[in-house]
Amino acid sequence: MKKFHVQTIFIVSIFLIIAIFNLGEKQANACAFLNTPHTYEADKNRSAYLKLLEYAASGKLFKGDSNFELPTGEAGTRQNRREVNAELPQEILKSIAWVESEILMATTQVAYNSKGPALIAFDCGYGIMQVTSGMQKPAIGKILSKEQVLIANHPSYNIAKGAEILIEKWNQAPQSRPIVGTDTDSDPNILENWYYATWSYNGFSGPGTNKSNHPLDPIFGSWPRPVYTCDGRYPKNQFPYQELVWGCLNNPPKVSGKQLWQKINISLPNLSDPIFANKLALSNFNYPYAAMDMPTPKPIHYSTKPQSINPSNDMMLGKPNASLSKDKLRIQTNAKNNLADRTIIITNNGLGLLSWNAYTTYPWIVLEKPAGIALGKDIECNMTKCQRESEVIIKINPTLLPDTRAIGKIVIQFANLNIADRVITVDAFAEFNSGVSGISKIY
Amino acid sequence: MLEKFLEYKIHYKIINLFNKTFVLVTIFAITVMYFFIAQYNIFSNIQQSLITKNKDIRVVTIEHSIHKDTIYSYSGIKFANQEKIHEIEHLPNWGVNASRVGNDSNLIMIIPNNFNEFSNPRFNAEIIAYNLQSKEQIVIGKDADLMIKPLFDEKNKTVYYRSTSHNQETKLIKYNLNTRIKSTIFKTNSAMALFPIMSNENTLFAIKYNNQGSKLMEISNMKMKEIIHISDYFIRDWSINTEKNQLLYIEQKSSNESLRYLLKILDVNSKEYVDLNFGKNDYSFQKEVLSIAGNTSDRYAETVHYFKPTWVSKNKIAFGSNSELLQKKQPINIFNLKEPGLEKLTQPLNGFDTPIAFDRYRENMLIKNIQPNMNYLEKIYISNNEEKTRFPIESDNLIIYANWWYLN
Repeated sequence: MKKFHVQTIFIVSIFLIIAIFNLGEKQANACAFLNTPHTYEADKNRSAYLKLLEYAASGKLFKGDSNFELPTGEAGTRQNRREVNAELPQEILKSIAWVESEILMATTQVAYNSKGPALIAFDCGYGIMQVTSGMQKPAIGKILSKEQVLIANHPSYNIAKGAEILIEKWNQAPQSRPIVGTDTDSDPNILENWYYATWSYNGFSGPGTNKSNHPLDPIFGSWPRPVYTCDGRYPKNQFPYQELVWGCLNNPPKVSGKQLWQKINISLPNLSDPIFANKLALSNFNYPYAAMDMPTPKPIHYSTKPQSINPSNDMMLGKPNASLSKDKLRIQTNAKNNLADRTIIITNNGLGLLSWNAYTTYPWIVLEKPAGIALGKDIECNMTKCQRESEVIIKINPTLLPDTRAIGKIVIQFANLNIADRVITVDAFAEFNSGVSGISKIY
Repeated sequence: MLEKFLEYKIHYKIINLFNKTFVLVTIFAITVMYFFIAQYNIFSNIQQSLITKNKDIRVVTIEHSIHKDTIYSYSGIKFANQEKIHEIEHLPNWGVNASRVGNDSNLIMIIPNNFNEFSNPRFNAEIIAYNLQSKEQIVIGKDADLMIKPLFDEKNKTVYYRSTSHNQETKLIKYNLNTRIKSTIFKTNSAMALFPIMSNENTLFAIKYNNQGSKLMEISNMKMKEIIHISDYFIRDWSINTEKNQLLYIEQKSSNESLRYLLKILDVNSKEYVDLNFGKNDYSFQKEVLSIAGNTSDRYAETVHYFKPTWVSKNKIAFGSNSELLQKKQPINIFNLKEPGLEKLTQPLNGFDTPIAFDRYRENMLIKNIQPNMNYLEKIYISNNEEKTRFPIESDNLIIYANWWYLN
């Protein structure tokens, strides 16, 4: 009896400890995916991603796809604002991508040209562009949208969404954002005119907030201050976000000793100049911020448009084709099941990246990985640990089984294919062992 | 007999003479030696090293690299003896935020940790008290706002810091290093730009920013009360005197045509501004700065940019200055509140100097030199105006923190 009490206290303590630690994951569970989806990481030199960023900035990426195409832009001052072409400076987009993630789609543990867990930040920011918009957990009873899946596990779609968000921040002026370029017709081809839009990409917030990026906020110290060197010399917390982006244009990052882009001496608003200091005074930081409209900081720099931008293989835009290894699983919970018995292999017989996600409404079915990527034959996958196919691995929680035998279903969706969802039947047999009470084992 | 006497006398005189010469030569040699020794400061160095040994005053720095910040101390006559004290690993590309070193060798630091990948590095940072001598640390919390420098009330061994660990919530936390008791002294459900600057027994003083300007606030018993509206404009670089009754700061006043930086001192108790005794307007102060610098231009609208005003003693403040109208190589200015006039410290070789802190023995000034034409490159020096010395703190990494550390 005494032994029973000791055991019970021990087991309860373990559960309490697990519960306490799980409280720390509360914020993680607020993100779209319960478990981390898998993605593909392209080449180390970022050449695939840089091409995609240029393609997205040109307005050509996913043109015609209402969820991912670049919206039209705007130009003009508060008095003559008008619609213009769907494009934005590729220089600004690239620098933002570097500041957000060092232009990486997966976590740093994932090798280049292979697959692994996607990069997710504390605020549910996903991938290269650290997209947070729309990446919160679906409401109870709702499932993930295809858009959420693609943003989380497909680099091309992630970049497209980041570009869309940036131009939307630009387009918020003049209704709810100030304008840069009162003297240059707020020409979107001028890099300096993107100062407020860039600030907005990370949050157009001011002193006191958790993400203040106001250049005159005392948390950033005095002005003038150095230009951010983008090489690790200066800690990021000494600069507002837009100065990080400007700094990486002034001092391009290097990979394998090579600069990722040409240096641009893009101009910041000089806060020692009364023209800019007055516009950026805290007293003007009031919605809709009209008093913050300012001229273009000089000297001016124009965006350079690449000569021709056409899709290439490494942009991962090829059309995939899906096949599954099986559509039925039979799992006996107390038997030593082979992993193969619990695994569905997804193969991409086409090109590019096949984005998949799986869900189930049966609580006794546990999916190890909620979403992943299967690689087409044109995608580089040369590392020893790189597998072109993707695996959906299923586990059974016998304590939630309604009976000793139960049949459930898993739905596998293909977010970038216009085909019907595939349904997998799971036939589970449970024979319970009378083990230590209070312990359940997931088979 | 007489011959012997005379011979003795002559010998005696010769000997005397010899002796005298010898004495004279000896004295002369000693004098020459002393002259040369004095020229090379050997005696003064010995004197200084004796003094330094008794005082054991060092400079402590925090030097940044991508994955860690390292605490070093610099000691010795020229502050050239570097000793590594501690390494702090942190989130890549972020850096620590530290307060000044207490007399008990406690350094309060906020660290952007990567222990919890789902934490915002700006507002769930770890705050610790690290003892530079014993190398022990106390973890005060994991809810600190990295961007706000913590305040250490040495007399009461109390740390104050801002916590914004939840969106749209601002808290001010108090932690006693002796009792290890932690308490929230103020909380609001709105984002608030509050900067703790000074404390006494039960009251914390903070500067509050919003788009109405800057205010000095008093906080106690979970309540906040406005003491005075300091300015309609942006203020920065505040410094509190040792008596904790005067607030020195820079007001950045902009209009459509000009941007002016004004040095101001507010008496916290009387809520009145201390007269800088420089004529009746700030233009004459600027003119004084400009004229002493050798520029007699009448262009008062041009900005003299002031940096980091610091209390040197009860009636003296030090500050850096820079302007297109000033000569390059601007030294630190010391201004006596009781007697108008500016004293200048030793001129730097490049850029302009700003004060960090005067040591408590009033001998050495810890200086940050800034070179605008080299992307505002910063270097740290220790300058002694009397000795005319200027020693650099040499480091390949960026020094993100430097201050005095007294070991006895």
